[in-house]
Amino acid sequence: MYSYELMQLKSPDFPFIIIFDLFIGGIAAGAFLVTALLLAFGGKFNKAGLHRAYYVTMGLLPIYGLLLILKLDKKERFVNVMWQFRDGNIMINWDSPMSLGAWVLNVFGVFALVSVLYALKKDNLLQFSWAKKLYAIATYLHEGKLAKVYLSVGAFFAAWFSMYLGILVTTSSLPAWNATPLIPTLWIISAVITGVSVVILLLLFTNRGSQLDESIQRLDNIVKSVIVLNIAMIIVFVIALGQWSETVTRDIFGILLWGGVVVVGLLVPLLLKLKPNLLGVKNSLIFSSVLVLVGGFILRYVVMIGPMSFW
Amino acid sequence: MSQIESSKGMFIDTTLCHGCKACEVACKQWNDIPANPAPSLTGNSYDNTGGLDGQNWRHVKFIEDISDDRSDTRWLFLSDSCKHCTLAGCMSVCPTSAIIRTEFDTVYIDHDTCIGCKYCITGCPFGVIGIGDLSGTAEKCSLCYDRLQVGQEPACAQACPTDSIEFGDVTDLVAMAKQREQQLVASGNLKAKLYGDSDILGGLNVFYLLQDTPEKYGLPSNPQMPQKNMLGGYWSSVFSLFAVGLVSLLSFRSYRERKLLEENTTKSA
Ligand code: SF4
Ligand code: SF4
Repeated sequence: MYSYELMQLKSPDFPFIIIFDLFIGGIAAGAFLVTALLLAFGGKFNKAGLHRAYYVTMGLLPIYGLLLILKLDKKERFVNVMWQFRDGNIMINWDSPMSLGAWVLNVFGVFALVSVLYALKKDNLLQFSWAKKLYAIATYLHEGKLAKVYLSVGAFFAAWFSMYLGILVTTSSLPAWNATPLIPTLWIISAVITGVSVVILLLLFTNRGSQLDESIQRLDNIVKSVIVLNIAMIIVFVIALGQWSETVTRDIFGILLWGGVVVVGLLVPLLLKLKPNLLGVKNSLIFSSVLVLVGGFILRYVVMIGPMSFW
Repeated sequence: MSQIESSKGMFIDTTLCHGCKACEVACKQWNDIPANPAPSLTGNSYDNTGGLDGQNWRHVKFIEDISDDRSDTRWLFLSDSCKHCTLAGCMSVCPTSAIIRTEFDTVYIDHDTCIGCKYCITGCPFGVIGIGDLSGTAEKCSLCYDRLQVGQEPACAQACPTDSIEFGDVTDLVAMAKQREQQLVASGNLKAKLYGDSDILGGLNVFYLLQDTPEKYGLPSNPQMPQKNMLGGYWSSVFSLFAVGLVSLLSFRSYRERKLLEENTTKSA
């Protein structure tokens, strides 16, 4: 007998804008996560310029939020995610990663705001006299007795934010997205290398003395190690997809995943970082960081669009 | 959340359906859903609807079941819609609680609250929900909530000429369905089986008597709540967070040690 196993499942057809959003959200979270961890637990080493990562986070988060709203079919109702008009209550659905994620985004936004005040104070930029107290609080939270607590909690929310869209797609009925719980893991790792790469570029282009060199090299060290972790995780992810691995390895998606992400976005940058003399130290840093960003974007494209376009 | 008065639902007896599509038409008519663009030929048998979505809340599936040697053929029909699951994936993932359970224990989309994020589309394991052209929000069968409120049965059930769609209290319907299943098995239809009794997602309020495997009807044999991987996702994230944190800190600190080593080597040379 013929079997009519009609796959009825539907793709949500998330638009391209969501891929871009995931990408910049990852950068914002990754930059904050690593910076907060290093400022809190990096020891007594030179951390010059690290606080500038907060500009990256604060610059990207509002764009992230805006794009998320633009993606909704009923954009004007975005407040419904925070406030339940029907019942007049705060809106939170503990079972829904999207609902929790919206709150995490807001809490993370507060951390990003406090931290960017600290960065502004440190760089003597935009010093408003009326905000003196705020600058003092921000500085205390970064350098005072509570610094470790503040930075750890901030890093926790940054990490949660970087993975929640991974949890979101994993919590779905779309095969491949729900075949393994590893997408959030991929998102965190990729967030870290793309976030740190953007910070490296920022420090490189704002580096007028040599005092930042050590910080840049240290951040680059982190990227090197996490690139290896990322490659390993991609391989584990594809294996874990089992029968659905085809959704990310077939046709153009396979070329993009292995060629675009693994080779161009991870192996070539790793080579440039290990052999900086190939292009010169500064050029290698710039070029490898840009390639890591390209790879991070393609990774999100493949993991999101591959399974969606299977139907 | 409203108090459940009584669990209302439907028992769809596929053995009685003859594919007239009266239910599809009645549904569109009652709910003011625009007709599909004509001609809309799917190329899939006599099915010109395609599937359930925001514009089609009920869909009669036409399944041409032909034996491998093509000597034996039969039609299988299934009038499909939202199952109004007891454990409803769509409802559990909705970030605005726009999907609610009504006093009739049915699953209803509040169009004034829905933000059109499409998350519920992936939350439903049956591929039921779509975005409606007119409302611009998520849409699906409401089990004719407005009719239930005034004591009427749903439009599709009323229109069905063969009583393939039975509406009523779920407990009564289950008893009726079990009897029918036994009858069919006793008369030689050994594959006849209920789909959606308490074994599936805590029980489907709209459930089916099938004549063959669920897969043949395009129904998942073991539908799951979307959250089945959520905890795993959190755990793998925590694990990777530790890995990333550790790698970052070790790499950050190791730079200093390497520098010192290089300096010492240069000095001693
Ligand atoms: S069948 Fe799908 S749309 Fe209907 S209640 Fe169940 S999960 Fe929700
Ligand atoms: S119960 Fe009402 S809304 Fe649901 S399929 Fe039948 S007619 Fe359409």
